Amino acid sequence: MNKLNVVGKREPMLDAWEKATGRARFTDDLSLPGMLYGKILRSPLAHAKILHVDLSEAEKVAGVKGAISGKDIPKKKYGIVPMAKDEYALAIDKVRYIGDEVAAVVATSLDAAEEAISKIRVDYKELPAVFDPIEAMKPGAPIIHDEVPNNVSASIHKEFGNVEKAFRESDFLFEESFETQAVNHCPLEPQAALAIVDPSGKVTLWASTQIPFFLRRNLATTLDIPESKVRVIKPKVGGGFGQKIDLYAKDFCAAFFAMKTKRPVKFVYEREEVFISTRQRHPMRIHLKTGMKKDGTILAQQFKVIADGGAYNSTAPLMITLACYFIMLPYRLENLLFEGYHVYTNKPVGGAMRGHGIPQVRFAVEAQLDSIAEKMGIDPLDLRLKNAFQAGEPHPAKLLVQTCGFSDTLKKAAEGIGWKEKRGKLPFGRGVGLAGASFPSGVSNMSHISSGAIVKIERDGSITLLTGAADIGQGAETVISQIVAEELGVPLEDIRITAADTEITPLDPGTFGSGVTLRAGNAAKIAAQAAKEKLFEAAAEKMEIRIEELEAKNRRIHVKGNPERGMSIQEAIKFYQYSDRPMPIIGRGSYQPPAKEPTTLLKEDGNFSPAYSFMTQAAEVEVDTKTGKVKVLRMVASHDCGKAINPMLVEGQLEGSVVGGMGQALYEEVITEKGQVLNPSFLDYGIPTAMEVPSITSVEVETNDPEGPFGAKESGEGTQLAPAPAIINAIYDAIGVRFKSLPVTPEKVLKALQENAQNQNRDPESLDPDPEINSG
Amino acid sequence: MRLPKFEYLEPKTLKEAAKALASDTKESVLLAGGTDLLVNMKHKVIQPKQVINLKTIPKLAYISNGKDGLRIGALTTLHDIASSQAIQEEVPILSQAAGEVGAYAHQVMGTLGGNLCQGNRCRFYNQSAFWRGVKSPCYKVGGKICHVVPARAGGGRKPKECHSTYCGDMAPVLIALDTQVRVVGPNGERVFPLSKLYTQEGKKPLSLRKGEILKEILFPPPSGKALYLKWRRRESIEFPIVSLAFHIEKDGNERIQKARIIFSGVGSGPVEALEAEKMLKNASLDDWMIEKVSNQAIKEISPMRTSIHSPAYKRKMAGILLKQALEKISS
Repeated sequence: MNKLNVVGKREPMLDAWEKATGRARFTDDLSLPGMLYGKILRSPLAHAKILHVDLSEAEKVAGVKGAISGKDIPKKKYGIVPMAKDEYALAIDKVRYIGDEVAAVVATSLDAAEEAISKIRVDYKELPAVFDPIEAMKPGAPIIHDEVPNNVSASIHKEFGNVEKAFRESDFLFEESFETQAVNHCPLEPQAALAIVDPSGKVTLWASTQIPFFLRRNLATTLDIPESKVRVIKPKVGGGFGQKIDLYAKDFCAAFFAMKTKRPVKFVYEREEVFISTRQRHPMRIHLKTGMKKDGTILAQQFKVIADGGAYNSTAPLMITLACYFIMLPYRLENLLFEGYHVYTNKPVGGAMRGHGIPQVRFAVEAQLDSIAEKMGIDPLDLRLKNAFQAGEPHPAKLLVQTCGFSDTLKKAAEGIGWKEKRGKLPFGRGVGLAGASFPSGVSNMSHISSGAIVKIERDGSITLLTGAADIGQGAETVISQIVAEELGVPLEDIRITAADTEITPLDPGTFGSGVTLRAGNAAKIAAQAAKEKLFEAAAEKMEIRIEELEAKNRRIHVKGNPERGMSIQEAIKFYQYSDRPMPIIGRGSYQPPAKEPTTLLKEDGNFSPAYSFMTQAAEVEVDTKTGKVKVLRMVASHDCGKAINPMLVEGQLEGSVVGGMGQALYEEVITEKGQVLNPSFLDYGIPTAMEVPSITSVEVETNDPEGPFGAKESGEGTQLAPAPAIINAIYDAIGVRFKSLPVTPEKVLKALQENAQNQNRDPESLDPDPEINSG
Repeated sequence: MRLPKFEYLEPKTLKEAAKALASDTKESVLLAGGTDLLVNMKHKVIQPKQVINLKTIPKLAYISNGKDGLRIGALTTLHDIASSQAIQEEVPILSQAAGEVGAYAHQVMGTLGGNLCQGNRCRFYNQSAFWRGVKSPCYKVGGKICHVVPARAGGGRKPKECHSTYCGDMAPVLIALDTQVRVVGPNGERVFPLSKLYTQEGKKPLSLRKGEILKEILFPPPSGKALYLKWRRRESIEFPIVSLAFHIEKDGNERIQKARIIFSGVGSGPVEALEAEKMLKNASLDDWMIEKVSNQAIKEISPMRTSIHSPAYKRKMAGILLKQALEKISS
């Protein structure tokens, strides 16, 4: 590959300065003349029929300009997955969890809106509620949605190969159960929306969203107006992690009230609302059986997975499907039987969160692999290397893995943490562990999964880039600008970017499934090439050579390898204009990942993603054996991201994701009691602070994927799959206890240490926590 | 969440503030750093008619180390205490404890007086109005039930009114150091041991009389060794799950003359383990003794399920903290 000038460089994020100095404007920073403030009334009951909502007292509060309940809105369901729509913007018939939206008001001040909310009287008929997914699946359990009498709203039963036969042929069988907890995404910016309506009746909504174009569609559906009457603009967004892919009541209510009152309307959620009524990572119970050959080959796995979905679907079918398919990466697995259920309960709603259904099952697999390795007398690293998937291998679910640096990530993470010197050799209380994973780089062939871009070469030689990509803090705008700058041979500062405005920028599915760099990056690259080609035509004519001989570098267009023979971009533009070519110079790009087969995975197998990233996390921990507190000392995150367009941003993604994974392993849990969240605040919910962040080393493995722009694949989201099991495996190395339920709090560690000590006193044989190893 | 409406007063003197506070016509509260008060007001667990801002009164923030000993003004910020060279040298445990309160922002805004007078906490109480609306109102907000210990159906044992927990960091330390407090009321001043500030009653945790305002904290001459051990999940932001202030004085022959063991987070006020303290007198700190003393101490605390952490766990950790303190002192 040619020497690159902008791609691969450690460029600061384009808006880093703005953000660091507090000048960046997020949705809540926006304000318009005559703006009204909205508030939502939420259900205090976990399950109830709504008999009557009386808004009259609320409407009398001074400053109140409108009040609505479910019966005032179009009866249009929404959901992020079209086949699983099950939610109204405001509850119409009944409420299904504590926090469900019942009514909304707008007023000239937030004080008035809050007062009005407190004056709404709702008559409920309380219904029996169910909080445990296994209880919810039993016959006779309360029915949460009438259409789903068994509360199983999505399920998957899949077999690849022949598991029964493979188990018979296995030399060893291992069977264990694991459990993961609910965790919240905790974006620092809470969900917000601001809407206005112009005289033509068109709604413009500024929203804290990851997916402006999907939001436009969902908003049009729920408002029951044409999509052409909705414009969504994404201002700066303070993190999403999957929580901002759904439409929320705040989006609908802002738009609905703007239409009703003809005034700007803003809704901003409280942190408590973020915790109780947006989305969270699904808690899962996982039963896992694995068949092994003597030589360490993983022959077959059987899963039964029950995901606690809470009161609504959100991404349910996709989540449970991803959990299934990504069992078969990063390890070779010919035989898989997967039975997965998404179950409604009267609790906060599960949704997409970094890794989307995969982190939970990955925790189970990676934790079990370590215990298998120990029982079989194999080094856990060697066991993983032996089974590591390689590029180009046939895949049981027809995933096409063109590049795969998994083995390299394993070796580099192990080397980085000092595996050989440390594993099993550190003093009691200290340990190392590792875990691997794989993740898609976007989704291939579902509807709406194409990206567009427009690149304009301006008269002064500067470049304007329009992309639909939604930068939510990860740096998408910077990365896509780098791609365009590289393609056009200009420095990054020459690019002006306008992004994520459904009226101005081309279609883009938004930020989810880790596809932004690959998808929107490719679209922008194609657009830049198209614009460049037009300029090259003119330059070639002037220089009397063939277009193919030209390249663009350092703001010049010149003969390849001969910078002297050429002209500046500005000279080329001048000639372009004087040779009567039509201005402006616009290049367009549309990109859809290649897909030969239907590939939603929801119904058929096929290549789900244009490229797959691979990663290994290695952890070193210290356990205070007196108090049970686990301190993560060091994490090594080794990631095959194809090619780091911006290594500094890749590192930022890896570091943030590692901390999130550490939170799930040790600190975080949305605790509920009869459906009520007990800790809906940053004080009581244990998200790690800067004080808990360990030293993190990022090791990039570059495999230069043929499909990714300049070889790039996913980074960041997939990273969150492996830190939790890596830490749990390190804890085992430290204290000899295998934890199967997250989070591993000091309380659990202390209890386990004391039990071990007691067992040791009584009977040293019973130390083995998993005695059920069978010869096959 | 917005603050409820209130009248706002900026008195010029403590006396004026005390009079306003004593007024029967207004339910008034005092504002110092606001880190505790404003959150409670936004949650609408406190809805005062009047807020009296103490920060406008001059000369309430000071650290003075004169011939009458160390004195700290009630409005001195925790950050000033954490970073004061005089305190770091004289009573290092105090700057350490101040540096462990909440997060940096709390320390910059929060004051020593405010911290000592901070409200008791409970998982059913320190929640938004919406959250509390899911359940019936508890004693602490004028209701008829304590969700921590609900009355048994059909009568039986009448529960204590409110089981909310004292979670301050500074009080256990200052009680262990035998400090006194000076309070100013509408009818003059009084000085009494800090330990007497706490009633051990959840509903009204402070013994201040009508209109009384904490003015300063008075220290005896420094003596012995002191430790503050705070147990929490994260190294910032959090209140103690349980914390321990430990103060010990030995005579010339290294024999323990006096020991103070004060816990936070395990009762309706700071809790002193008096019997365990007695055991330590003249004791030699071998493993057996350390075990015995910590076993005794955890019998003297009565943690309740007022946070997401179980009482059993709090008790266990209280014992572990005391063991750690005794081991540290003995080594």
